[in-house]
Amino acid sequence: LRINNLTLSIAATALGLLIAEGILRVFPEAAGKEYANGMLSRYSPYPDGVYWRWPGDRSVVNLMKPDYTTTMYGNGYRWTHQTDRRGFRNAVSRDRVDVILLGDSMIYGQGVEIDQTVGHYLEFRSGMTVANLARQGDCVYEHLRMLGSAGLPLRPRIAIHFFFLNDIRDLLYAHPLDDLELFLKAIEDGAPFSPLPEFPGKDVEPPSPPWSSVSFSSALSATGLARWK
Amino acid sequence: MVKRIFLLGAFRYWFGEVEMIPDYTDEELEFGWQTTERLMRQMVRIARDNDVRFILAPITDDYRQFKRLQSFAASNRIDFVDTRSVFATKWSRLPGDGHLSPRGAAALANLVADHIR
Repeated sequence: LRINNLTLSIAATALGLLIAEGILRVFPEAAGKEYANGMLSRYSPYPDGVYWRWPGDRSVVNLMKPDYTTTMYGNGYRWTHQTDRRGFRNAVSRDRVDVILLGDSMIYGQGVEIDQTVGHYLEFRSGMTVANLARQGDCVYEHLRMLGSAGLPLRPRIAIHFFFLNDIRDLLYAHPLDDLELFLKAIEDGAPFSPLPEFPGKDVEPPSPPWSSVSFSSALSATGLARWK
Repeated sequence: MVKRIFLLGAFRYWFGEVEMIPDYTDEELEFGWQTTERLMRQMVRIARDNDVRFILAPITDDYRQFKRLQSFAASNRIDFVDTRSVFATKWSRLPGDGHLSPRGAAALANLVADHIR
């Protein structure tokens, strides 16, 4: 009888945990906005994430995986993330454009489809070719690096820098100040930008144990900080 | 297919593993501004060296931030787009999120397209 009770208890606990897991998978928002963002976000460098990291870069610059399509989630919104062959959110890969856009998630287009982004509308409205080089979480440091490493090779006539109100806090939060100073001094002295590295494939991605590939924060809203450290 | 274990995530979340946004002092924020302005000056220099027209289009509804950027643009002869008309509206943002709505993105693109013509 004692064994039967023990077996029953274990089975009931396992069943309870399975039901709880199922409920959280179907209704993650019921546990809180930050929880749902943390569990469903693809803004990470893990195998199911959209980022990979600039190799050997001390300032943790995330790059988006090239030619990559997935469904994203943030604050209750779902959208299709698709990147061009350089890893930016453009429907078409081009070697030369008229206009480049530098910005963060506002210009990347968090929460909307690619044909609802500023880049798409600007191309339609201006008749010029546009490359969207914006990524979620970027601040002016990344904008400068994207201009030098990804923007100038496209030989644009116009560069539009969309400064967003959280860029100052993002800069302080996401980058070691000593590294920033070293980088700035080098650029001010005329050092060239390194070219955008080639995505080497899955081998560079960090392992993804189920308990460490998520991070919870209010970062995904446009008024908070949005950064994977 | 989501490969994460939601229940484990829930324990981490409920037991306080939530990133807190640091509360920066005015001094730290001023340092951030000065560094940002140095970075922007380099963007402008590099754009000019490569015959690229550089345009600053701030997305902010903070008046002090806007004025500082406007003044920075004027003193560095940077082309500046005043986007306040877009961000003064509720419809420009996704409800409960704050990012640009499709209508907001279209309005911002129109403003910029008018400016670069």
